[in-house]
Formats: sequence, structure tokens, C-alpha cells
Amino acid sequence: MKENNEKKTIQTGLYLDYKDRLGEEYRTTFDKVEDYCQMQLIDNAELNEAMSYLMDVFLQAQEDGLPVRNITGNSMEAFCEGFLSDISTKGRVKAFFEKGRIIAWIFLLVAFFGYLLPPLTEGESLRAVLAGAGSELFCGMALGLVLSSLLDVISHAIVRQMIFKMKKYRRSYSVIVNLLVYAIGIGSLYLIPDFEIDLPGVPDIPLGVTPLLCIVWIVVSRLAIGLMNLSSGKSFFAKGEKVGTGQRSFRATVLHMMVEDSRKVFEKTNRKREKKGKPALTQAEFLEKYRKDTKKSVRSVWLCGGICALVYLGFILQVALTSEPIDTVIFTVVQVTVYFLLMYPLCIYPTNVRKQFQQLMDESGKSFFDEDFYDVIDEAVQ
Amino acid sequence: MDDTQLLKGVLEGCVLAVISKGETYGYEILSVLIDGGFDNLIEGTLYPVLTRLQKKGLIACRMGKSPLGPSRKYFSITPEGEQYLAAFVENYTKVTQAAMHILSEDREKKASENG
Repeated sequence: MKENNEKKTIQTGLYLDYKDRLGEEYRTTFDKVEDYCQMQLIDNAELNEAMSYLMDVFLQAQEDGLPVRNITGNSMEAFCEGFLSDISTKGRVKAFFEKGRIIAWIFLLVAFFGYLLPPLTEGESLRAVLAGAGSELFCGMALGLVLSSLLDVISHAIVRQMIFKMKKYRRSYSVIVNLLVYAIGIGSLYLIPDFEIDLPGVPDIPLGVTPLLCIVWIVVSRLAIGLMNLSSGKSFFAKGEKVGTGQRSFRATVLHMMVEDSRKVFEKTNRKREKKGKPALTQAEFLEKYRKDTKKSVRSVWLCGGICALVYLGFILQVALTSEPIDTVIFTVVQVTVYFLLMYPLCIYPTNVRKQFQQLMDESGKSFFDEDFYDVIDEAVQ
Repeated sequence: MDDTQLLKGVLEGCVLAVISKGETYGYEILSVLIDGGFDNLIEGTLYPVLTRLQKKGLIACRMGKSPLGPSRKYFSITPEGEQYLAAFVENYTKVTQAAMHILSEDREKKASENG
């Protein structure tokens, strides 16, 4: 393991790694195209593919000394519209629902658990519960999902107009527009009167509850999606097995990103230590700390998972004592499914990846500071 | 006169013709087309044509190393693409011959009227 004092290009396989190679003119244009494309309904994998293609073209044209207008023409908006004109309808629909997909599943399952529990412990059957509280919940969740996605589409359409019309467009403007559109959208929900619908065969749904659920849904899902999209262009939830370049699997791409992130953590840690007047960690010291942190995080996941499992077991036992056997079985199956669906993406998968990352370093004798560690990852994970 | 519609009709065939000469990539295809006379052609027009041809199965794509940036898509023509190209050339020749015939007749008529 050698000290790496030179800043080298980080190879995640995504087009982002090569932005620094673009000159000012090309870089400005590429950023605008990227901003515009991200404001379209487009699947992440398709977007990464398109931007990688464009990066290659830009770099080649720059090498040949051509002005960027030779590639894009005079109208940037026309260029962008043409460039993405062949996005599949399926891709657009997928992107529409992907806006709230992850949060949709997490909140749907958590709320499902929360709404089911009190009525079941009071002795109501599962069927009765789903006919009552469940329908309000699902109505609100479905409305919230569609509404938040629609508000996203509206705000993105506004931002797309701003990107080329404003000379000094900044990425933060898209956040302001999003907040305004959401404020108007959520505010208008309060105009919906609170009344109950009464149709034969349909359970009573007080519509006043639905807007409240929508508001909670929209705010929380938007915040969470925004947090996930902080590093522009990168997404750990990019669909498909081949990400970006078409050569690397999803797991390999995640591991490549961990290389970059770990180096950033090393730099950040030493900056903090410097501010506090402490000596900077050497790479070897940081790697030792990293190894200990990996063991600690694995132990924490086991502990957290164990505690959650005990809590779930307690709920299941409580339901078993107060409900019909068939309801207990259904409840148990649902809760076990909920447990794994929550634990897997939040705890189990990231911990497995971290363990694999550490294992690759131990077995190869290389670390994330070595440039050829990327080759180690690629050979191990195909 | 806006030649967008005319371009739409011939671009797929011309792109296929360029790819049929040998495995190539986006920037090279653009350069060949511009050198061939498509002065106003831009990458925003070419990329969707390539994705459409790929979806139709007329061209195949492989990822290869790029000397300058991220991995590059290399395109080659498929047997279906060869057939499509042959049919395109035949139809295009027929259409342009008919059009030139009408247009040149019309021009001659106008020239004789103007005396």
C-alpha cells in the first residue's frame, strides 16, 4: 500500500469522472445538458447511458479542436429535445413511478404495520381492519404517490424552461422551484372539503384524512428523494444490471463508488483533525480504523436486527393471544415480510457490501488508496 | 426552406450505410456524415437515430475502451440491417429518380414560359 499524494481521476465508470477533462466551453454546455436531462422523465440507466455517450463525443470533439456549437448546434434546447427524443414510453412511465418508489415501499410497509396493529390487538379480524382503516390509508398513499410524482413533473417542466432562458441559471434554483410548486400543491389540498362518501359496497372513507396522508407522504418522500439525489447524477438505485458504461454490474458499481467515498472520508477526517489541532492519520492508520469500524457496524446491524426481531416477535405474540389463528398466521407472514423488506435495503445489503469491500482488501493486500484496487473489484465481482 | 423532414427520411438509411462500411462509433459517424454534405447535422439528431436502429435490431452495439473518456459504444450492422439497407437504397433510388423527373420537367416548363 503506497501513499497516494497525486489527485488521480476516480474511476467509478460513470461519465462524472471525466467532467474535469472538459474545457470551460464544453464543461458549461455539458452541465446545462445534464441539468436539462435530469429534469426529464427518464430512467436512470438510460440517462447514464446517454450522458456517457455525450461525454465521449464532447471529449473527442474537444481533442479535434472543434467549438462545442459544431456538436450541439445553435439552439441548446432543440439539441436536448432531440437528444432525448427516443426515450422509451416504458422508460418514462418507470421514471414517473420511480420518483417515489423506494419511499413508497418503506412507508407503505411501515404504515401498514402501524395501522394494522392496534385494531388487531383489540380483537378485530384482519379482513375488518383492511376494510376500514386500510382503505383510508391506501387511498391516501396512492393519492400521495401520484400527486408527488405529478408535482415533480410540473416543477421539472418549469425548471427546464429556466435552464436555457436564464443566463445565470444555478442548480439551487431547481430546489426553490420544487419547494414553491410543492407548497402550492400541498396548500391546495386544504381546499378539499372534509366529507364522507357513501356508495354501496364501498367502505366509508372520510376524505379529510386523505389530504393529511398526502401531505405527510409528499413532504417526507420528497425530502428522502432529495437526500438520495444529493450527489448529482449518481444513484445507488440505478436500475438494470449494467450501469452507465454497460460493462459493470450494479454490485461492482456500488463497490467502485465506495472507493471514492472512502477516500473522501479520509480527506474529511484529516481536515477535521487538522482544525482540532490533531495530527493527520496516515493511510495505514485510517485503514486500521476502517477495519475496526467495519467490524463495529456489522455488530451493530446484528444487534439492531436482533432487537427489531424481538419487538416484532412481541407484537406477533400479542396478536396470537387476542386474535383468530388464521389472522395470526396472516399477520405473522406480513410482519416477517415487512421486517426483511425494511431490514434488507437499510441494513443487510449495505453491511454485506461493506464486509465484501473489507474482504477484498484483506485478500488482495491492496486498499482503496491503490488505483489498481478497481481491477481487484472487477475481477472479483462480475 | 426547413429541410428537417427531408433529413428525417434519409438519415436512418445514411447512418446504416456508414455503419455498414465497418464497425464505428458516434463521433466518427457524425464526422463522416458532415464531411459527406450534411452540414447542419448535430449529435442531438444522430443519437436518437442510433438508439432507434439498435432497438429495431438493424445495428448491434458493443462496449469498448475509449482512449479519452468513458467506455465507448461501437456499432456494427446486423444481417437484418444489411437487408434493410438494400431495400432502403432501392426505394430511395426509385423515389429520387421520380422526384427529379418531375422537378426537372417543372423547371423546364417554367423556363420556357419565362422565355
